[in-house]
Amino acid sequence: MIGKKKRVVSLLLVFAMLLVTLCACGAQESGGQSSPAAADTQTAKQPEAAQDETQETAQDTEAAPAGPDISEEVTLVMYLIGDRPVDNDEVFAKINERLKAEINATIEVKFMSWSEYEQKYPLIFASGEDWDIIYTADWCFYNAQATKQGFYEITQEALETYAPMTAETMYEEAWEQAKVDGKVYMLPMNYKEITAYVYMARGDLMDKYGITSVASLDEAEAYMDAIVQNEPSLIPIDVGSDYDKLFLYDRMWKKANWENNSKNNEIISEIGPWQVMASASEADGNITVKGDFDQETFLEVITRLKDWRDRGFWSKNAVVNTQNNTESFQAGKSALAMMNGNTAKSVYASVSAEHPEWDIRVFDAQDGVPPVLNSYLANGMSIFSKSKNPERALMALDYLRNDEEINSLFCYGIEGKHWEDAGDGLLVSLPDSTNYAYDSNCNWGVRNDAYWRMIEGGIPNLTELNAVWQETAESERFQTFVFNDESVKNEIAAIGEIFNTDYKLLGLGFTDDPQADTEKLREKMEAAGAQKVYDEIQQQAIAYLEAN
Amino acid sequence: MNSRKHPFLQDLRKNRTKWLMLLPAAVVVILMCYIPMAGVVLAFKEFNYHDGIFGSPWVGFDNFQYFFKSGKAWLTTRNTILYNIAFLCVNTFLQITCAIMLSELAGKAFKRITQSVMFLPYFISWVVVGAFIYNMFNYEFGAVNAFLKGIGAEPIDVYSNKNAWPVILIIVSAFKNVGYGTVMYLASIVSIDGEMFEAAELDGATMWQKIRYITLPCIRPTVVILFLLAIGTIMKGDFQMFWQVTGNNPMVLEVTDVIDTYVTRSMLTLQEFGMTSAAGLYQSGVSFVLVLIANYIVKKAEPDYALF
Amino acid sequence: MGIGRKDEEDFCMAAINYRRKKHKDYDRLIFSLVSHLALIVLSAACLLPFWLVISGSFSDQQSILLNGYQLIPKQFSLDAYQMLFRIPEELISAYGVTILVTVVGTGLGLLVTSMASYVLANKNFRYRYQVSFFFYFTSIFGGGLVPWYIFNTKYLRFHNNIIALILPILVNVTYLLILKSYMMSIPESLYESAYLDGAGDLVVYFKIALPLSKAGLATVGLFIALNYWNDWYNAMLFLDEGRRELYPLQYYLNNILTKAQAINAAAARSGIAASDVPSEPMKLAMTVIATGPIVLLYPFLQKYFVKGVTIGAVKG
Repeated sequence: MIGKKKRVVSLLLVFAMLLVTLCACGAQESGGQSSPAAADTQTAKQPEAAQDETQETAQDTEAAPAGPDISEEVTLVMYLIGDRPVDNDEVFAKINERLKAEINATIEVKFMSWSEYEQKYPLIFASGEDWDIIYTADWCFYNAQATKQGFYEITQEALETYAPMTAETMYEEAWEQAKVDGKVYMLPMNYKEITAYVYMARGDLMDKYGITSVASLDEAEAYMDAIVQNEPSLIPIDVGSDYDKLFLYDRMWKKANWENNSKNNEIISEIGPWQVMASASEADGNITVKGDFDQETFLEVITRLKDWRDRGFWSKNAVVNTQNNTESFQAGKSALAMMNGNTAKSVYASVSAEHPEWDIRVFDAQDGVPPVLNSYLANGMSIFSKSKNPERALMALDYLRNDEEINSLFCYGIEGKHWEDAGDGLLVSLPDSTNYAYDSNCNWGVRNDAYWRMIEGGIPNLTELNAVWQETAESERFQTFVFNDESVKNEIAAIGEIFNTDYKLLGLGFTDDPQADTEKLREKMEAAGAQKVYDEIQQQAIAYLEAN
Repeated sequence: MNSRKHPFLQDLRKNRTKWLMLLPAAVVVILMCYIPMAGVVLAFKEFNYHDGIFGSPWVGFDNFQYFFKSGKAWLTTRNTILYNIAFLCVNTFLQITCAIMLSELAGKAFKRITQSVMFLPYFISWVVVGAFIYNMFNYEFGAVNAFLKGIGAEPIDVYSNKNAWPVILIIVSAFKNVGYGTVMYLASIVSIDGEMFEAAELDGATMWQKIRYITLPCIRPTVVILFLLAIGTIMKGDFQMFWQVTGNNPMVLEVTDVIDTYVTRSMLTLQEFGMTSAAGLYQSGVSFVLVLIANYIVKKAEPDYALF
Repeated sequence: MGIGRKDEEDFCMAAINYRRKKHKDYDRLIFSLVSHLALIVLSAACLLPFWLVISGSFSDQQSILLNGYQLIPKQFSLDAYQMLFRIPEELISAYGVTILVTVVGTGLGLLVTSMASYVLANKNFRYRYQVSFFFYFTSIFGGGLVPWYIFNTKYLRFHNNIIALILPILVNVTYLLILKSYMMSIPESLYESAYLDGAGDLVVYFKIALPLSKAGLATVGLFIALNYWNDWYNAMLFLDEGRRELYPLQYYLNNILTKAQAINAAAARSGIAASDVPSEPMKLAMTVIATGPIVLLYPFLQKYFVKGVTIGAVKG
């Protein structure tokens, strides 16, 4: 009995130890058996780590004039957002061939899927994992990670030393935009992108009800009214998802301000982060920052939205929509869709193939308001602050951006396999492009106007629309203004919550009394400390205007 | 000699087998919970990667401000607690009822099938449940309104109706959890000494009497411990459930907003580890106080049932 | 328990028993009727949504968008399953990982948990309240995701390690305390006599505590197994996208879905007609694929849920 007991006790001890060693083993295992390429990195980096310091000091003193030292071969780990395209490794083998020859480095790509990047992105900065380059953007944690010292600072000298091609081609405004507290942590894309909106309407219904055009808010109103009156099974426009909740509000708001600005000598423009709902009024050289809801035009817009909602232009349950308005349009649930001009091509192609009888037509939804030149920060690449080879990473980015062959490989895949040159800066996607789709491998951060290609074909009147947009497009007044929210984070968190609830409700016209509900919004914003935020923005905006 | 030692060391020696049996679980808990727990300091820090968790600068109670500033702290706390109490009462009642019915029924096949079927909702994710609710109650296309229109009645707009949501949430919570929880009570019922029932039977006790005087008292420890455990999570809402089932609908937030959904919405555009941490600490703190009170009461009444 | 009333007069017994018996039968009938009815209604309520899931998973994407969920698919289609089964080796490997993790995790978890609950349920153990508190405390306070993640990746090196799928959910304190409460219902006298016979704790644990809490073990085992079966969060946190051979089922299915949605988005950007990935039916088909096997397992567990364990039997 006793012998048995002892045996079991020792068994237990062994088990407990096993648990502990299991963890310790885990430590070794993952070090040794991560993917083969990573294993290479590790062995490659071992000797180098020791030399790191000497190397750095050497560079400081003598390497600068003699050009960077690239004698050590390195593998750079690059994080992209999305899912690995089937032919990704093949494409990167080709890119790496060139990079190896040019800068003695290769890139290993890791992906973070769309469904998880929001959680994982901040975590990999904290995890102590070895990596070097990452995709970033103003909508993708750029500010947050930069202020938390997650990124490697890219100085002007570093740029000139390690990324000479970039230094030469970088748009001045882009470089300015990328500054956080005067320091740059990102190479923004080298690409001027316009955001313009279009309506897509059903030609069959237009003809039926004698509507000739849906190219302005008024015309859209007439069209949707005809639908509500005569087509009970259709929703005129099925907005309300996270993607298009504020589409109509935006159109009306921009239109109202545009008209106001051209009539009066007061200029109203958007300023600061989206969710703080701030706008700047400039008149006679004075600038005042206040909430959108304090502008006179706000109430007009909300009243019109309420009217549209009351007339049933969109669903009574629009706020909980999970499908966006193009999906509903495609499914035949709604009669009008509104979308970014850049995505219209594909919707047009698939809807006209599926339902030729709808005779869909595309109209400019800008309604006279100049389209916006996107911020350059909408896409970019950054280097991890704890990267072991930040210089080499910068050199690699230089090639990804500015070397035509490498850039095209990354953006469109292998020529002759995934795409074909169609002249005029256009390309044709080949059938294999399903394995490496055009402009889809999170390559947006290295987009470069010099090598940018559009896809041939598409919407009949798109060239026409594009011509108008190109001509009128302008940067927003405060496009390069980056708001430092350090001192008002708590207020912004509280405001963000109001933005996501009350403001979005108003933006879809969900109110019985626009005036009273605007007043309520104002009160809530005040309680959340909005004034403090607006004062801070105003102060920074004045400094910004003086500096420029 | 021994008597001079600290009683704890003495016990460690005397009951070493027991302590060893506790060891594996303790090791896991220390690794997975206690060591990372040091990270709560984040709630009082402004985090940056360069200095790490412990090196980042202290900011005192700054990270807590946003939560109380919005004026929603009380509303969301109240909602969270009330929903949890409602879920707990309704679910416990249903689960115990089902467990008793299942344990008393004779038909083997019937029992097995119903028991399995009741477990199915557990596997349907909240995203899908949310989609079902939307398909049922959508104003224009929903099944409910299609039916109402069919019989010539007025359609109803559930998504703007504040009174409907507490009921809907309580029903879906019961729906998802009834099978899951029933198993716990069933396990407790079947472990009751069969001799007790036999004795009662010989005495001619009726069905109700057996349930009233044997079954219910015997499962009381389980009920008490599950109640105590539930109080520990009373400040946490099932985030997925509230987010998906209501579709994060701003029109009825007044009655559906809980702390977790509120914090998520505030942090949608801001990435502040410290602020999330602060909200978590607030939830833990309040839960802890409530549990201490509840446990104290239970310990006074029935020391054996207390958690600690 | 208020039952053993043996003080009634003998001559009354027969009559009373007769009346009671009649009353009892009547009772039982009502009870049985009500129970059957209630359980049938409840089962139907639980079955209906699942039926809609199955039916939806065999539907065409457009018909779900247009008509919502139907009892019988309006447009029958196997697209969703075709998408999910496109690379059968990967699906099988994902099943393999999930089964491995579930079996190992449940086995270990049950052992570790039950040993601890045995000790905590034992009234001879002087520090049982303190140790219970030590465990319980962790279910209220935590360090939050970030510190936990840093510790696990930096110091325990869980990155791309299958242990990361097992250890984090190995011990669930709630289950531990529930199991403890089940074990506390075992009469103390059984333990005492075993100890007097010279048995040690391990023998008592294996010979008395475990056999007598079969239903409790089955319950907690089921819960642990379900947690492992449904876990994708840890896989998301700790596995690199390149390590497909380590993907558990739920994470693998989720990945196919996001990939499919990404293909649609890519098509939108490139101006090619969107390939119409059936994302709606895929969500439902995922539920079906992931639920199937574990539901089949459940009936096997049910034999432990039979009423009337006779404790006396163990004594003898």
